[in-house]
Order: sequence, then structure tokens, then C-alpha cells
Amino acid sequence: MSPDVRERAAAGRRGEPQEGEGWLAWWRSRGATTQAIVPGTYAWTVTVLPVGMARGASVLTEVATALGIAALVAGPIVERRWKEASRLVSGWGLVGSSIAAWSLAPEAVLGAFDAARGIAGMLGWGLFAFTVAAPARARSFAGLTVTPIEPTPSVTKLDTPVFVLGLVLAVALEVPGWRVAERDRALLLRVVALAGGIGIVTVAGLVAAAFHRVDAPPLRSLSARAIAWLALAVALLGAGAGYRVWRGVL
Amino acid sequence: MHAWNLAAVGCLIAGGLSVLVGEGALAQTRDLAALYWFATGAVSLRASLALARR
Repeated sequence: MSPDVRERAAAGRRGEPQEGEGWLAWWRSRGATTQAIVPGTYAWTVTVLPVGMARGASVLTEVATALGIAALVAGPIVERRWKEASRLVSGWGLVGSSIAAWSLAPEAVLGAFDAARGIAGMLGWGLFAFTVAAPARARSFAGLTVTPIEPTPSVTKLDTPVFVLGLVLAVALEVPGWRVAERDRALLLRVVALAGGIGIVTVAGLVAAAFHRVDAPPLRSLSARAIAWLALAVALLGAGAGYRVWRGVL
Repeated sequence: MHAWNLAAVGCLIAGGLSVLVGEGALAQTRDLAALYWFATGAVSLRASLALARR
């Protein structure tokens, strides 16, 4: 850790004002739920609003659409008191109401949804998933307890590739859904892609963080639990790949 | 760089690809295959995390 960062962290713990404080610093100091407003509003505006508020949409569809933005705004309001609950309200409130709006929207409106808007929406949902799943980015060091971490250089190198890999995989999940003509199945694929994307980005973040553990076990040791999960994963992957080769799919 | 860290990354890739294959199967209405690959993806991701934490 550089001396500059140490100094700023110490100043933050003492409650001293930080350089560049203002609305931007305030925004950066807020949690993930507040920071998710920007990508969430973008995703909602591009993909849900035109469908939910289209001509011919029922009142129920309009209510579901409005609930999405309401959940997004409600999250940061309750964030200070109920941090975990705010993530549920903001993240899953927007996702759930969007699914409801898409399900209830008129068939003709969904059919007229163009590919360019779909791709723009995909990026928006990807960014939203990333913001909700990732820890909030704090630039202000006020109240922040910093524990110096001295990872080995070889381990540190894996961080960025692992995180980028997670993002690439999460974005790739968005592709198959756009080739399906049947409305219900396309919707199901959107939900699966969203849930899968959040899961993969979360695991990628946790794996990258695990490489930095201060109390990391010796490199050669492997717990029984890890061995069991690895064995099960290898067995399932092997059986699935073997079946695909046997059927001539791969 | 230790082999177990690389194995964790490998499991992460395998998990992501499994979910992707599952999505492809779901798109082709092969629901049972989709379920299998989703389960495989979940187990691979869990294995990735377990290996990273060891």
C-alpha cells in the first residue's frame, strides 16, 4: 500500500475532511444500492418503459412498470438502516417488476422490440447486475478501516483476468435469448441469463477476493470440502461432455 | 501461481460455459438437458469458490 493511501486512510479514520468532498464524493461514499440507480434506470428506460407504457398496455402492466422504478428509488432510501434489505428491494424489486411487465405486455409491442434496443438493454442489465453484485466503490476513506494486505505478486496477477472473465461470461449468457421466437421461452431465457450473470459475476468477485486472504491456508493444502466439490464438478462435466460426444453434438 | 488457483479459474470458466450450454438447450426446448447443465454450472462455480478458499 502506498504511503499516500495510508495517509488518506488514517485521515479518514480521524474524521478529517477529504480532498474533493462534495456531491460527487457523497455519491461515491454511498452503497451499491445507490450506485445501482444509474445502470438500473438506464436498463429500465431502454427495455421496460417502452413495453410497459406502450399504447394498449393494461393498467396492471403499467403498475408493474412503475413499481420497477419505485423499487430502484426505494432501495437507497432504506439503505442506511437496512443495508441487506435495500439490495433485495432495489435489485430483485426491479428484476421482478420487469419480469411482470414483460409477461403482461401486449404481444404486438414485444414483437416490435428491435435488436438495437435489445443490445443496448443487455448492456444496461449487465451493468446493473455488476453494480448490485459487486461491493460499493468507496473513494472517501471516512470511517474506513484498512488492513494492509501483502499478497504474493503471482497471486495478484490473477485478479483482473478473473473479474474480466466473469463479466465476459455474464454478457455471453445474454446472447441465446435473442434467437428464440417463442415469447414465454424468450422471457424464461432472459430471467435465466440475468440470474446466471449475477451468480457468475458474484463468484468471480469472491474468487478474486479469496486470492487475497490474509489468513490464506498453505498453498499445498486442500480441504475435504474443496475436494468433494471439485470431484462432483469434474464428474458432472465429464458425464455431460461424454454424453454430448457420444450423441455427436460436440 | 499455484495449480489450485488455476483450477479455481478453470472451474469458473467451466461453470460459466455450462450455464451457457444450458441456455442453448433451453432455447431448443431440451429442458432436461438444460436442467443438467444448470446444475453442473452451479456445482462448478461452487467448486471454484471452494478451491479459491481451499
